[in-house]
Amino acid sequence: MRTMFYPRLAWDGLRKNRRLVFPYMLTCICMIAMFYILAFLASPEITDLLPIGTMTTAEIMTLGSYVIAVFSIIFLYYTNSFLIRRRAREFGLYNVLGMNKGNLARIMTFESLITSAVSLFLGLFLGIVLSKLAELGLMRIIGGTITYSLHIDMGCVVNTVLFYLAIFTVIWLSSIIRVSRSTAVSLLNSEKTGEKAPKANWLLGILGVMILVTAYYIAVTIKSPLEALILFFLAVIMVIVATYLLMISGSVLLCRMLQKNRKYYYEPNHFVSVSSLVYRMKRNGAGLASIAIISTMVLVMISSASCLWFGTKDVVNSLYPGDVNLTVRFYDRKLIDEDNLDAFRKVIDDFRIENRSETEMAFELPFIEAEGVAEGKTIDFGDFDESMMLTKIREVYFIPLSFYNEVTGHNITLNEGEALVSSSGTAVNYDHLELILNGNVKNYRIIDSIDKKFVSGINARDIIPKINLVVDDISAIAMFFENSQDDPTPMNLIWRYSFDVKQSSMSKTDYAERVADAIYDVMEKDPGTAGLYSVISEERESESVYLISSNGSLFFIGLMLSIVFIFATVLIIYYKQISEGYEDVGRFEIMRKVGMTREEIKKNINSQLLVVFFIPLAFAGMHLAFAFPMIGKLLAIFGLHNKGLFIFTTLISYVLFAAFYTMVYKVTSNVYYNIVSEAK
Amino acid sequence: MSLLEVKNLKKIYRTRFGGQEVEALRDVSFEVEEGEFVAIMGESGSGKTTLLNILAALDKATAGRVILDGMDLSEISEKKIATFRRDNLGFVFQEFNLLDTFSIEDNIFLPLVLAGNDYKNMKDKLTPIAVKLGITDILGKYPYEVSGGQKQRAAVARALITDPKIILADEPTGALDSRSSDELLRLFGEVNAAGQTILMVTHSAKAASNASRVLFIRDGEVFHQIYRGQSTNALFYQKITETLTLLSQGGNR
Repeated sequence: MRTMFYPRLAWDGLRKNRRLVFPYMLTCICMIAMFYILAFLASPEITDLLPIGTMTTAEIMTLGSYVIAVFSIIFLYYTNSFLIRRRAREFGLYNVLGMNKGNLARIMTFESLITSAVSLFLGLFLGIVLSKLAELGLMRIIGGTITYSLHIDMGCVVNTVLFYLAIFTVIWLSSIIRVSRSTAVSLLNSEKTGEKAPKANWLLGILGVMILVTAYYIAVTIKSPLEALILFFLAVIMVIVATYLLMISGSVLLCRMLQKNRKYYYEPNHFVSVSSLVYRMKRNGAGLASIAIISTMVLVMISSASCLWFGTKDVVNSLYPGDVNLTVRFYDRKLIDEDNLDAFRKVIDDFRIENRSETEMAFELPFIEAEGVAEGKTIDFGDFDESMMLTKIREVYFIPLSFYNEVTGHNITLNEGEALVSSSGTAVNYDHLELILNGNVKNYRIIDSIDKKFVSGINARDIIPKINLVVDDISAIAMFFENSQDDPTPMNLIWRYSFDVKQSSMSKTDYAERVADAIYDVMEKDPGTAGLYSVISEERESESVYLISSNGSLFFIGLMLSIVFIFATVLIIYYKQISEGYEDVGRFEIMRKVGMTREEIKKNINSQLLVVFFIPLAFAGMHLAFAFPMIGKLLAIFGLHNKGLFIFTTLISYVLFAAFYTMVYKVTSNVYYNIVSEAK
Repeated sequence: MSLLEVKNLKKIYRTRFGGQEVEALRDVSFEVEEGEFVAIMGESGSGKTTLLNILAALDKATAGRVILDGMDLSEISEKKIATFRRDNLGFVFQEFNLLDTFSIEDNIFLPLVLAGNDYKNMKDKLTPIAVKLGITDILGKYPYEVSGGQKQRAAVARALITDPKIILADEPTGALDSRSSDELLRLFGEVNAAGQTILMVTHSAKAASNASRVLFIRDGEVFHQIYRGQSTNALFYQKITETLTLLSQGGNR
C-alpha cells in the first residue's frame, strides 16, 4: 500500500492539473512523432524508393529533424517551467502539510515518469502510423515508388527514444532543483508576488525601433541574391531581437504615452484597458514576441516553400526551354558568326533527317558572357578580388540585335555604339555605359530598355545580378575583349540551342546524347572548328529530376515544420490564456464591486485580449511584408522569378494562417472565460 | 421616510448539486435614517456578508425588499444595477479591493471615469477629499507601494468621491493594525459628522463603538439593537461587549 502512495499522488496531481498537463503532453507527443517521421524519411529504406537526387531529400529531412530537435529542447523546457510555476502552490501546500523536499522530489519523479512514458509511447505510435502517410505524401510530391507496406525503422525508434529521454531527464532535474531551492512560503505565494508597475524603458524601446528599421532597410534595399544570402541571417537575428525589445518595452512605452494624454486616458473605454494592458504586455511581452517570431517563421517557410514547389515547372522551363538543350561554347571569336552557326544547325538537322524524327525549335541565342565590376556608368572587366567587390560584380550578356528582334517581334535598328539595356540588380539608368578592360574603353549610348519578357527567358538562375546589353554586332565586342586582353580572354562565346523532340524512335535522353556525338563527329573533321568548341547536351526531364526532388523535399519539410511550429504557437497562446484567466479572476471581482456591469467588463477584457493576441499576428504580417523582397531575391537563386506566384502564395499563406490563428484564439478564449467565471 | 428600508429580507442558498438548502437570512427588517452611522455585528456565519451583498445589489434576495431613498432595488433592471451602484453606493472592503494596475489616484477616479467625468472635474472633487483623508502625498503611488492604512483611506476616498447616498463598509478595519484602525474609525466619525450615512458590518466591538447604533444579527435575524444615545465611545463599547456576551451565551433578549 505504502509503495503506491507516491505514484498515486503523482497521478492525482496530473489528473487535477489536466488543463495544464494535457496540452503539454500533446505537444511532446506531436514533437516526438514529427521527429521520428523526419528521421524515418531520411533513412535509406525510404530514400531507396526515390528517383535519383535522393541525397538532397535525405539531407533536407535530416536537417529538418535537427530543427525539430533544437526546437523541442527550447520549447519543452520553457513550457515545463511554466507548468512548475503554476503548480508551485500545490507543492507548497504539500510542503506545509509535512512533506519534505525529498518527498516532493519523489512525487515529481513519478509525475515525470508518467508523462515521459505516455508521451514517448503515444508519440512513437503516432509517428509510426503517420510515417506511412508522410512517406506516401513525399512520394507523391517528388514522384518515387509507392509501396503499401508499413516499415518501422528500429534505428530511428531508438534514436527518438534516447533523444527525448535525455530532454525529459534534463527537464525533470531542472524542476526538482527549482522546487528544492525554494521555501514552503515562497512556493505558496509564488503566484502572487506583488508586481511592480512596469517602467517605460525608453532606451530599449528606441533601440528596438532602430534595430527593426535597420533590418527592414536591409531587407528592402538588397540588390542581389548573393547579398540576400549573406545578409539574410543578420536581418533575421536583428528582427528577432527587435521584436523582443519592442514587445517587452515598446508596448509599455506606448501605453505610458497614452496614459500621459489625459483626454484620451480618462475615457470609460480606455481607462481600464490601457492601464491593464501595461501589465499584460509586461507579463506577456516575451511570450507574444515568441508567438510573433514563430508565426513569421511559419509564414516565410510556407509561402516560400510552396512558391518554390509550385514554381518548379517554370524554373525547369526557363532553364531547359526544350526537350534537348545544347550549349555550345566557342574558343575563337570568329566562330560565333552566322555562317559557322549555320554549319552547326545543319549538323543538327541532318541528324534529325537521318533518324526520321520530328523536332520543333524552342529557343536559340548566341551571346557573349563576361563578368565585370559595375560602378556607376562603368563596367570594369579587369581582374578583381571577388570578396571585395561582392555586391558590385555583374554578369554581362551581350546579345545580338537580330535575335532580339526575331524573338520579340520588334523592329529596332541600332547604330554602332548604341545599345538596349536591362539589369536584374541596380537599375541602369545612365544614358551611356563605359566598358573598361586594361585601360581600353568602349562606349555605348543607351537607347532604350530591353523587353522584360525577353529577359526572363535568358536569365534563369540569378545568383550574380545580370546586365543585358542588346547590340547591333557582338563581334565588335568580342574584338574589343580580345584586343584588350588576349590570354585568357575574360569572355565566353556561347550559343544556346534548344528544341522539342516531337516524334522519334529513340528516347529523348538518347536523342540528346547522340545529337551531341553527331556534332563532334562532323565538327572535329573540319580543321576550321576542330578543338575550338565544346558541347553540353542536356535533356530536360532527366536534368530536372534533381530540381524537382530538392524543391519537393523543401516543400514537404516546410509543411512538416510548419505543423510543429503552429502546434507550439497554439500551446503558447493556450497557456497565455490560462495564466491571464487566473490573473484576472481577482480584478474581475473588484471591477464588478466598484460598479462595472458584467457586459462592460467582458467587453473591456475582450478588447484587451484581442489587442494582446493580435499584436503578434500584426507583427508577423509586417515582418513578412518587409522580408518579401529579400526572400524574392533568395528564390531567384533557385531560378524562380515569378513575383506574381510568390505574392499569391504569400497572401494565401497569411490569410490561411490568420484564419487558423483566429480560430485558435476563439477556442482558447473560452478556456479563459471559464476560468474567470468559475471563480464566482 | 427613512433613507434605507429593509423589509422581511430572506435569502436561501442552494448547493449546486443536490438540493440542500442553507438559510442565510431568515427575516431581516430594519431602517437607516439619513446621517446615521449604523454598525451591524454578528458572528461568522450569522448572515452579515449576505446582507451586505444584497444591500450592495451584488446579490438578489429570495424574498423581501430593500428600498434606498424610495427606489426598490429588486425593481431595478440588471442593466441599470451597475450604474445604480456607482451613483448611489460607496464601498469600503476589508481587503481594500484596489486594482494593482492603477495608481492610487486612478483607483479613486475609477467610478467617476466610468460615469464619464472629465479630468479637471475629477481632480476638483478629489483635492478636498484627499486633504481630509491625508492621502495627498501618495496619490501618484501604486497600491503595492503604500501601507494597509493608506490603502484603506484610498478606498474610503474612492467611496466618497461619487458623493453616495450611503457608504457600505465590510469589516473595514479587518486587515489593519490597531493604529490604522483607530485612524480609520476617526475618519468615519468625521465623515459621518459631515452628514454622510454609513452602514458598517464588523466583528470588532471597538469599531462598532464608533457608530450611533449597533444591530446584532444571529441566525439570519436581527436579534437586538442598541443606540449610543449620549454615551461616550468607552461606555458604548462596554454596552456592546455586554450584549455580545449575552448573545454568545445564547440568551434571549
